[in-house]
Amino acid sequence: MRKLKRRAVSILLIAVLIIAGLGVFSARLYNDGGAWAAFKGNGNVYSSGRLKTGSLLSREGEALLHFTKDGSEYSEDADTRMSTVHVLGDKYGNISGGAASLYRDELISYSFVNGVYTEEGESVRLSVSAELSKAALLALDGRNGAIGVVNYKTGEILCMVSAPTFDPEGDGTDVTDGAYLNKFISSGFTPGSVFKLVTLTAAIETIPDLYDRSFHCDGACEVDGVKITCTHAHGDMKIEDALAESCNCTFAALAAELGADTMADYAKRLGITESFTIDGARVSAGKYEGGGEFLPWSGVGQGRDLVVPASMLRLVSAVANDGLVPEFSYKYGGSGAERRLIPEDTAQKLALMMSYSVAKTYGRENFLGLSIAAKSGTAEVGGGREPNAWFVGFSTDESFPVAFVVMIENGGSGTYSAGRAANAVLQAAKNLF
Amino acid sequence: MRYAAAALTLAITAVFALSLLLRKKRPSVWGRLELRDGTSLELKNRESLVGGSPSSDVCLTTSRRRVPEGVIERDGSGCKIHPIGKKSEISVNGTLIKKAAAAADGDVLTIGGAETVFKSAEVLPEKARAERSGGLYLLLVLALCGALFSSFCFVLKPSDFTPYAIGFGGAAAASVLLFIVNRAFGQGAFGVDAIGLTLSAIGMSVVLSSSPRSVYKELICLAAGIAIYIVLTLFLRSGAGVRALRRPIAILGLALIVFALLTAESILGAKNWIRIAGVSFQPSELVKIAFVFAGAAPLYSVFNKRNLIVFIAFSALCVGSLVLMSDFGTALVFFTAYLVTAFMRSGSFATVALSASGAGLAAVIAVTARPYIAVRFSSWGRAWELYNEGGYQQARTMTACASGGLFGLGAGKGWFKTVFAADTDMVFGLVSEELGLITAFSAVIMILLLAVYAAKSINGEKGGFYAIAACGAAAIMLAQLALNVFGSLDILPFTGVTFPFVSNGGTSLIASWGLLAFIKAGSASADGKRGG
Repeated sequence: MRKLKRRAVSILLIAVLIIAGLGVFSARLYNDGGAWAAFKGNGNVYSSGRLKTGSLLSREGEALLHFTKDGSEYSEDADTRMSTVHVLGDKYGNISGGAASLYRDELISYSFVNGVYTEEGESVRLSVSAELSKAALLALDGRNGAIGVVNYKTGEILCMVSAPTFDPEGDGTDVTDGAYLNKFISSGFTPGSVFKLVTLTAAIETIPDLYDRSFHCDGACEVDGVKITCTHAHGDMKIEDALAESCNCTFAALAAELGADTMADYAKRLGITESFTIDGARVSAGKYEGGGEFLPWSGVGQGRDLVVPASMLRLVSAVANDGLVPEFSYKYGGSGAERRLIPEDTAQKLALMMSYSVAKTYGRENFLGLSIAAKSGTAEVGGGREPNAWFVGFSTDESFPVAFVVMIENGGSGTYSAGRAANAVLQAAKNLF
Repeated sequence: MRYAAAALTLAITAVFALSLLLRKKRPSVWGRLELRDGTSLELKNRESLVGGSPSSDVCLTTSRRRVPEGVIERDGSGCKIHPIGKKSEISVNGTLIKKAAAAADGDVLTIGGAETVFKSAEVLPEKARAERSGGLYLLLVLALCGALFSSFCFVLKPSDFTPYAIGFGGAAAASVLLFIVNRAFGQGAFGVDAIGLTLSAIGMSVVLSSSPRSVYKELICLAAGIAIYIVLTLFLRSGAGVRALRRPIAILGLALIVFALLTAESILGAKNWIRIAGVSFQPSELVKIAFVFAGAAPLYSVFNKRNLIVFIAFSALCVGSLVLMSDFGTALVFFTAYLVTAFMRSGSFATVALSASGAGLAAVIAVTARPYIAVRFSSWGRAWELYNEGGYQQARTMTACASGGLFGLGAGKGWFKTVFAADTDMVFGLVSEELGLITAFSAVIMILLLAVYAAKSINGEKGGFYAIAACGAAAIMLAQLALNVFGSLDILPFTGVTFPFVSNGGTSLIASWGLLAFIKAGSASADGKRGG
């Protein structure tokens, strides 16, 4: 019998293997439980792939989107719905990267201890302001484009509007081409002069006597055999005036001097040609092409350059924040993480010149009560269409730390059309601080 | 109420584990072998291996050879001595024996040249200890039935209460009945019964959640299972009768499985269902009981190689038939039970290794010849990659486990029950989702504890037959448990076997109770009073 007793260890061995298996399962559950619970097949929280619990709240605390067993309900106010639909996502998953899918782990209120058990759904407060979003949509005034405002200290996105938009509670008849596209994060546009910030950054860091140089503009010039034109003859000027006047000849010459490789390197370093994510939502990468005949115009933001508005917003946020950019987030309070995009002294030089541009060219009187630094862009798109209007920048007031990007498709002059929209949005944003 | 089921199952598991930990019963002396030099060797085990080898239960250092010579078996007030092998040198009162022979008080047994005198000792009947924990177990099981019923009541209209009241009322009544029978026959060890009842109550919750209409079938099967359990435990107390029936039961089992192979209907991939008079059942479930019977053997016959060969042939037939029926899960369960039983009987790693490699080779041949078999296992480890194809069920099981948290969403409140086979092959997910991980883990641990119980109860008071049978039964349960739980969680290939007691399935429930009888019978305390 002693032998049998010893041999019975064989079943204890199986028992030990089973305990090991439970260990493996427990570890997996602990690590991946949230993702398992958030799986769209989970009928406890989804019905035919649609969430049935939880709410997304605006910065102000009002419900922007509420999920129930019977479906989802957006805000009662149509303007709020239309200005925030690209942040939230639509009912049928046509808009990618919406907060409803980004925060579904939280919306289903998963925890290891309680699973998805909840008395009432969890609510997630977003950083996005319903009021500011409405103001931004209004500022677009029916034109297509994108407007983004961010707190450059925390990375909280205060507003993100993309047009054309539509009513997510509507019958679908108002959905036009591109309405499902979130142009703020997914579309690349010809940047025009806002790209001069990239050329300028490269020049500051690689041309030692940049500030000592004097640049000359006769209204047109030839760089590397390519004809460059300006709006008018700028005459002799220093670099800060070249930026303020947005002199094409100067920046085309700088690009030619820097070379395509250096330009491409800076476009990448500054995040223009790199993809990044906002709480998991992918921001498309822009494009820089400075080879051969494209090199001079590439420094001016024409030619084949493409910039995604969100990337441009990130760049000016870094300039505003001494070169450090906080990770963007749609969540109230932000993510807390940050990274360096630009060396500190370079950022300060850029900020100074952008402030100077406002004082000299854009006019402080056009931004009453604000203290901003900015750069405009009027990007020729060809085909007889009006140029794309850009206006990017930030508030230099520490108590009002916002950066903004306004991009209006075929909006005409950057300064006048996008600048005016930017002012309207910033005036509304002041209410948040 | 949300925490009640978790607390109660945890309590039952803890009480049972504690009783296992504290159980220290030593068998008392029923005889002695007195040597020439005056030393006396005690006989305590019902069956004791004697001889010159140090691993013998009774080691005769004066023996000529260092091998086990025979087995001394207690037989009434005397004993029976079984020689082992052809070279065995045992004589009773000077006569060399080749077959089992009886010996009485004062007889001279010469074992391997060592002369001893057998002296029988009077065994004092120990007072039947009152099973104090028995009442506590009953109370906990009844409370669990009540808690589960109340949990359902939260999601029901009063007009729909009936099947739930009948289900849990029936489970509670069965518990009380089993408790009374247990007391009446002085069986003790109610912990084992309580584990079966607890798991059955969880199973009742599964059935009521997934298909309330099946509750009557489930109750009938529970009653049948408990009836078989009572009959088997009582029957297993009569040593000689059991041995006599071993062969007929094995043949019956084999006949059943061959019959199934020839006539069975194919339901959901595996061709292992028999339908008689409108009632369909899985014969392979019932064959498990016959398999345990066939595998078990008294200590003296363990050393007979021919017996082992017969058992290997029997196992190969069973496993082979199941493979032909495409029921790979059950084939694996039988194979595991075979490995454990073969090892218990032979103690030889070579036998186990040879069997395993033989089976492995057979599997390779099978997969080569029939590639569609491999397809069934191709999604293993890729559940999330193939969440809408081969990994459909596994991905959803994991989702269900995560959804329930530690305490569950409440009986009847989950979504997982709507997924196909959630109440059978993926029942771990259903229990986790509705009753919580604590309850699901407790259910797993309960089965593990039954295995520990089986291994621990080999203290010699009962013979080799019971020890091997208990471990064989435990091995079947463990294999099922592992394949069911880890298969549905994508840790092992998904084969679709049942979780003992818990999965919705009549034959499976009956078979689980049948197997439990062997585990209980393996322990001497199940016999209550000694010397029976």
